[in-house]
Amino acid sequence: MKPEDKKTKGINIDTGRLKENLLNFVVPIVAIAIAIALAIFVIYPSFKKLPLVKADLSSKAGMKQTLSTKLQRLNRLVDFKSVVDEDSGLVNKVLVSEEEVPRLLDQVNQIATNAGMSVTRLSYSYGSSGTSDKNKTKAYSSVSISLGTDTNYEQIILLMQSVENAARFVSVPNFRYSTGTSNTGDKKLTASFSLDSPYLLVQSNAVTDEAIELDISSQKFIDFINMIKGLKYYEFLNPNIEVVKEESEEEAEAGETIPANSQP
Amino acid sequence: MVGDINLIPQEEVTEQKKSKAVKTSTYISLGVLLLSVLISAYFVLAISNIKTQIVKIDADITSLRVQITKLSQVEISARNLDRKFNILLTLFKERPKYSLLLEEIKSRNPEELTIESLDVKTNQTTVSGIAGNYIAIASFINNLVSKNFEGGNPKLKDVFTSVTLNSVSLEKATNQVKFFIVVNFDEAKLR
Repeated sequence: MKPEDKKTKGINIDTGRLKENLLNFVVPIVAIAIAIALAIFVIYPSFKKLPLVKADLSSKAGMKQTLSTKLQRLNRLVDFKSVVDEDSGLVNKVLVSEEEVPRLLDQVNQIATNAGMSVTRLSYSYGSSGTSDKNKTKAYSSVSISLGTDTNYEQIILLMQSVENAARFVSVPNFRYSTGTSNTGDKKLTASFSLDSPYLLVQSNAVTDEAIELDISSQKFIDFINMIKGLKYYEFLNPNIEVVKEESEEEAEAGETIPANSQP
Repeated sequence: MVGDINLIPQEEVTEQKKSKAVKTSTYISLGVLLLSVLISAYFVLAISNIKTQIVKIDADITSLRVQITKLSQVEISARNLDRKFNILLTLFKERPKYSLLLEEIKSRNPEELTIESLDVKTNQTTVSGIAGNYIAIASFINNLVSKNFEGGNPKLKDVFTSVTLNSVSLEKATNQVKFFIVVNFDEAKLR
């Protein structure tokens, strides 16, 4: 037994050979230690971080693209400001910002009389709110009109066509007609129509990071503007038209006759 | 029998084995180290490159935001117009053209039959009237449900989906037949 060998409780450790072996394997040991250190402190954290950084890059690239497109569209809107103003004016005639009940009643009255009908009843109430397709939140409010007339079948068709081609949007949820007898004993057709007209005050805000979907050069928008250009605009002929306001569900008071040009 | 005799001393054999083990482990460990360095370099460079791109895009975004903010009034006008445009598209798309329905009913109405009352609601209308005979009523009902009716609007050939005869009675005084029918129609075809 060599003198440097140690004897401790039955275990023999040849420290000399151990040191010798360690010295022989110093390069592999150091290399593996560095490799492990790289794996722990560089590769693994980077491996975890890389997808996050890529996602961040992708998100920012998307944001840049959105803003870039938005700026292009805004610049186009600035270039064609007169066209946009004209289009806005047309759209505002079709979907008005306020109730404008007297004007609406005058439009309906004109349509009915132009069709040859004799208007016997014209009243309005505030109707329910409508929803749009995209989100089912309240999209617009509406005025409901009840129209009663003495008429004939051809005139009803004419009235429907005029309503469908009127500048201010009006829809007819339901209507009816029936044959009756006049005071003179003649047969006459009496018709009643329920008409709805939406109105909407739009007050949008500028949200820098949100895209603008409106593209005034898109075929869809151009077709729409061309369509509403073909609608007939009725001038306000009789601002003092007398109308009856009907009681809506929310209102406690009974219906009252009021001048139409007064605000409800 | 001749046996192999290894004359190399045992210590030399051990030394050779040790030397070979050191050499092999050195190559392997250096290979692993090299691979680790390459992978590390790839990740560091890739992340560094992406971060450089992000910084550039951030600068572009800031610049775009400044330009867009200057056009906020134009943006508000555009949003107002866009909202009304979309709502009107929906309204026009959903509005049935009842003038077409009335014209179609008129075209399918036989001469001997007179419609005295009509009540139109969503997808359904009730019709009552008088006819000179039962055949006129049958003809009217057949015309309404016929998909091959040629007198009307070709686009509305199948607008009427069903007709139910609710009542029919003969008025002896006038020798005319009173009827009441319920007509279901596809409102989507009127849009």
